[in-house]
Amino acid sequence: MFSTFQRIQQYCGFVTTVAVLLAAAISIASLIEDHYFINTPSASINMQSIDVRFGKPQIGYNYKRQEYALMKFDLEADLRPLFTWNTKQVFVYLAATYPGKPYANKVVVWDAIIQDKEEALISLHDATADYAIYDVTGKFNGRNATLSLEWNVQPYVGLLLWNKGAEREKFVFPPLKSTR
Amino acid sequence: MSSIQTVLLEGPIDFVGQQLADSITFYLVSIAGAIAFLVGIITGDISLTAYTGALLCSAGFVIVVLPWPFYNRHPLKWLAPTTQN
Repeated sequence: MFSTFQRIQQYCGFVTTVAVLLAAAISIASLIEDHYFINTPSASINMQSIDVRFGKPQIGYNYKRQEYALMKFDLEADLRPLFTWNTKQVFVYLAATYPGKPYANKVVVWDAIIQDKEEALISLHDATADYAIYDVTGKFNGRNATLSLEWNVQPYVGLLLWNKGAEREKFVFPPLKSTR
Repeated sequence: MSSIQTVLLEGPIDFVGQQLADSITFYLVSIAGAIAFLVGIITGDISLTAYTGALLCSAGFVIVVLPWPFYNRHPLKWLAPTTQN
């Protein structure tokens, strides 16, 4: 530490070390807080209507015309407990799961990015889904499906926390509305 | 090099001063980190953690890096020159 330059090096190196340890402490504190202290957010979903139509997909190169499902829903959710000191934003989405071969299908129909605690009180009525559901086989065949609310808490420092929302609403894909 | 240049660019300090600078670095920065963590967890605002930490570490930078006179209180005693035959 004889010269100014050496002291700058030593000092800044130690500040970096302490900063990394501080980040680790904050992420561990967040994990503990999430496990023991956070109240589960409450939510309720109600599906208003679902249409199965026939046409070209909205996005992508696929030019084949096939069945797709558009839905309208009500959503009430209070995600304010998720906003701790370490929460940067919460990504919340509504996903529809239905059976298929060889694996089950899960499609996101609506999503939102919440950046403030005030925006975390969601109250949607008669909202249309952002994305339509297209099946890989091109047909729905009246399968059973479940609509669930899930969220992903993105912290400033630490691990991403995914939570399967417990709020589910079951529905059935109706038959094709109009002929091709 | 003039003595002003020596002081500003090289900033030499004696050995006792170096030990003191090392201790001050360790304790000041660790305590700054601990205080920043507590401030954040108590107020519930992580930006306060960042600002408190940055403020305390900047103050520490000024205290440790610049060659203050209290680092030079024990200058090295050189022996008197001996005459060679």
